[in-house]
Amino acid sequence: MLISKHCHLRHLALLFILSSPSLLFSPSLAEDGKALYTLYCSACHAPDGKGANNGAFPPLAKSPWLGGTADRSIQIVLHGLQGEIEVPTDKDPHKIYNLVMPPQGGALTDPQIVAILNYVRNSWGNKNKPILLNDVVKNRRATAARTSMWQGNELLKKYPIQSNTSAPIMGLISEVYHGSWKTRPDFSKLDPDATYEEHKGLISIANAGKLKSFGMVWEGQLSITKNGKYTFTLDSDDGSAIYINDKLVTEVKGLGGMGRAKSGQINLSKGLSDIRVEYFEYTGEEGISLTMQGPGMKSPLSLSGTKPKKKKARRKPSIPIDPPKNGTAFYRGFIDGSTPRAIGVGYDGGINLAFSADHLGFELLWQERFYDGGRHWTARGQGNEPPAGKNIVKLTSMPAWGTLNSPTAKWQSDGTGITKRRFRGYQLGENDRPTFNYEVGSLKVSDVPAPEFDSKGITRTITIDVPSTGVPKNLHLLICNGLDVQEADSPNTYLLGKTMQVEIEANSSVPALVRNKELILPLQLKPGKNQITLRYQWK
Amino acid sequence: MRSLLLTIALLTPLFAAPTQEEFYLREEIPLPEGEVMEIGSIALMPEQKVAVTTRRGDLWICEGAYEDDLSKVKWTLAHRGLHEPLGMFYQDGSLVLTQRPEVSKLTDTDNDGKIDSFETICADWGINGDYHEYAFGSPADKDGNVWVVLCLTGSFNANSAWRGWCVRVTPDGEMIPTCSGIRSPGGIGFNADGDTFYTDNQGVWNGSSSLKWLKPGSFQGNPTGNIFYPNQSDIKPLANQPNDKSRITTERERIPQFMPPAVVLPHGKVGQSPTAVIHDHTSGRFGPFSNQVLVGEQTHSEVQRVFTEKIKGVYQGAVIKCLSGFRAGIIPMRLSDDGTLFVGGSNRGWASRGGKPFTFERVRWTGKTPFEILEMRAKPDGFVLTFTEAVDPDSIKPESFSMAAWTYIYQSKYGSPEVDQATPVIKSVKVSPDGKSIRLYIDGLVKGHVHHLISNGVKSANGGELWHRDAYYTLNEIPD
Repeated sequence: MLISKHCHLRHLALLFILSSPSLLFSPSLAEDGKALYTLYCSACHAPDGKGANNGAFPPLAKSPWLGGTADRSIQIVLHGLQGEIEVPTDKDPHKIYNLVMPPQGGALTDPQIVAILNYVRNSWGNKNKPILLNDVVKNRRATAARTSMWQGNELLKKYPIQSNTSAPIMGLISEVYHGSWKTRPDFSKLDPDATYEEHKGLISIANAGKLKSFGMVWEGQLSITKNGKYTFTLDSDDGSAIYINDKLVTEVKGLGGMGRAKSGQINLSKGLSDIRVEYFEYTGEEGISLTMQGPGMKSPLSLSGTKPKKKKARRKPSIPIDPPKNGTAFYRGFIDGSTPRAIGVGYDGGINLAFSADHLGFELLWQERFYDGGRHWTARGQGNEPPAGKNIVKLTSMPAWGTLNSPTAKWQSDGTGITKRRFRGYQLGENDRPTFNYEVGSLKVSDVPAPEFDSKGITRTITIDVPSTGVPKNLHLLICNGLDVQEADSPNTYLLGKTMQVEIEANSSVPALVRNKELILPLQLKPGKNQITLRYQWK
Repeated sequence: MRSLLLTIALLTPLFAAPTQEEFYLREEIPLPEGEVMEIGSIALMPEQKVAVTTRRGDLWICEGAYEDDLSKVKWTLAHRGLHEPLGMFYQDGSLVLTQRPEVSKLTDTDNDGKIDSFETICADWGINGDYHEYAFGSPADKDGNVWVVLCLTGSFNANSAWRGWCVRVTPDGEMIPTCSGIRSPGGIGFNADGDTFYTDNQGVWNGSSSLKWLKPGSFQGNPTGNIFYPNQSDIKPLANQPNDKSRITTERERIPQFMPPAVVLPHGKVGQSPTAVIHDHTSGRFGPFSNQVLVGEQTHSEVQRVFTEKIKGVYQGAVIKCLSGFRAGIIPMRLSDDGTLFVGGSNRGWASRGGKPFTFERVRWTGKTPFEILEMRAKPDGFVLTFTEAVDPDSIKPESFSMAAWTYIYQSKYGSPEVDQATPVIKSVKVSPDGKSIRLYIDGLVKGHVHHLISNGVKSANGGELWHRDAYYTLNEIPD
């Protein structure tokens, strides 16, 4: 190469390297983080870090996932991330994402990861310590054996996100006093029973260790960024007071519950101000809340952590699927309670069923609302979704057609004796009502459900076309498994669990087999067409 | 008059960079109001009707999609309630769909505009409820078979039957396992010779996304689905399992059935998620790229052009960017006989540069031919470039070009950095007598590498610049 051919150049180059030690330790300098980010990351996270497609993908700008330890960021890049994660966005501070970030550890070199992360962690309002090459090397080594992506909650367990990278109150210390007071005592004359460092920087009674007869005093410093008038709002159960720079700002006096909030104002100048909060609890409920509002603050800043954080109910997106007027709705996504090839049918009138094209049977019956597409029709649509309605009955969970060589033989989940079990599709008739077609061995079966809106049930007419040469022996139809089965008072009628009954009408002299949580119909078939009618009814 | 012309000539920059609008007109086709039309497949029907399916499972028929005035398109809902179809074509009065669980034939038997017959042709592959177990289906091949590529479970595992395989479904519904080695397909189709190609996405055992040739019996590179070799008897299992952290050229020596990617679509540089595979069968109605393959790109919302040639029994060739600016991530494409390209897309779950959640668009050639590299053919000591029009011979010198080459680690990890970088040297160039081809004599071609040719200095005889200067040639074999 050039250098080896020209010795003087080699010496020059050596000199250059020796005089630039930073080059030796930071090869990341050679990589352009912004260019790499644009190339590999911006498709999903957007060039401005706000998440592609108006935040349909997680933003990196001001994301707490990037803050604090570099390990969390490095691990996400190396091994990927999936499952539900909460990332605050401009519009929704609790936005839930459920996507997949593929692992990049195999695709990106260590210097590339350093460059990308240093760009991302220090752009769009993010500010973090630079990552060094060794940080990535160490992380890669430590998790070399890992072959799966991180799950969101798993990653957070290992690398928790500090809820506030800058605690609202700096250097906060709490003192706990044991004693029973009906008015706020002079804490300066008492000795604390315990002292704690409050790393979260929030006024909290979590460290009190008691539910009654105690007092607490917190002391720390507030960082004020703008000169002006500040309002502090205090509420507590029982009494409390707040002092700023040793001046009493406001006070909640005596005994009583939350809802007695008091506000006070004080002029503060840029810099640090001392804050001191006193509190006592006599008996009964307990709690304290403190907020601060001031120049340039969009909304009051909470300085307390006592308010039991109400777990925000995860807003599950809802996309109801309903049958058209006098019509029928179909759904072929993954229906919980049946098999992956389930076909949901919803009749206008609030009767619904799921036919399993894997098991060739009716596995679920339910009433009222048909289905909700919210799970499958948002993001990537992971997982099974149960029917939306009520009175769900799970009739079977095994192949519905099989051979039993004796009445006590086990129902074979693989349909022993049936060489071929093949779903052939469905035709729609009046009001789009379906007829399911399938083959069981050499038998051709049509299976027609019909909703009964008055009696709240479904009548199922099964027609089995048997070739003259192929009358099967010992063929049985599984009507129910998994529910308690009892004979009902009326003939050929059986109770299935607590809410359903079925009446069987078949050209057969052999009664149905009632076994442990199983109802099985022996089929006495003749060449030509054989018909079986099953009337399912909710009780 | 003359002064006017002169003025125009002066105002029009002589060397203005070519833009897509000069050559191709991209238009959005209005969609039925209030509907979520995340288009997953497109079928061209008689009477200029176009059928589309959505990821939610709806089937719509569009009339008027070929008309100049797109504001009058009419949409008819034919059915709701399919299972994520990703492949559809019209055949003898029916639509044949590849749905997630099956290949099925849908028919409107009473001609009322609604599908009333759903015939399951084949449902012999496994699904277990995992959203990533996608099935992409081709149109019918010359024997009437539908080729289906079956994504791995979660794109990593083979937890259901035939995951990681390509299967053919015959008109009788028989399923013929055809190739192992698939990871996460984005589309499947045929080239002009009727050979089947699919796109596979960067991930485990795929250092980069690529366009792959599904030669029956071949192994496509991802060993996860190899557990199913014993479940069939037509194809001999691999003599050796691939080694991790290797190179494809190395593993080809050990595994004769290993089919290297025909054309690597370098990750990041060319795209991030290739999808549909079609070819231009219109004999010039879609511009100068007859018989070449077009590939959809979901993440970058683009259509890319692929030139291939067969060297020593394997396909290889170059990818050159083509169309861009689509409004969502492209999934299906269909090109009609009259040269109208239909493109559908969605970005749900996978982001795209086009920021709309879904789109349906068409592209037509304006009739103006772009100055472009038409073909890039490998030679033992370089390449031959053929252009869509004659070049300016003065612009053809070694300095007008530069080349970089690299490959990817063939590994069980997700993706790969570009490795084994090389810098082939363009020694000399020669222009053909008609000015339309040039020969590049190059030192240092590397078998198995992607060769990135940048043609910065090339000008057409009329002084025009290339529409696209970058070509990425995958040199699986160096011709003798």
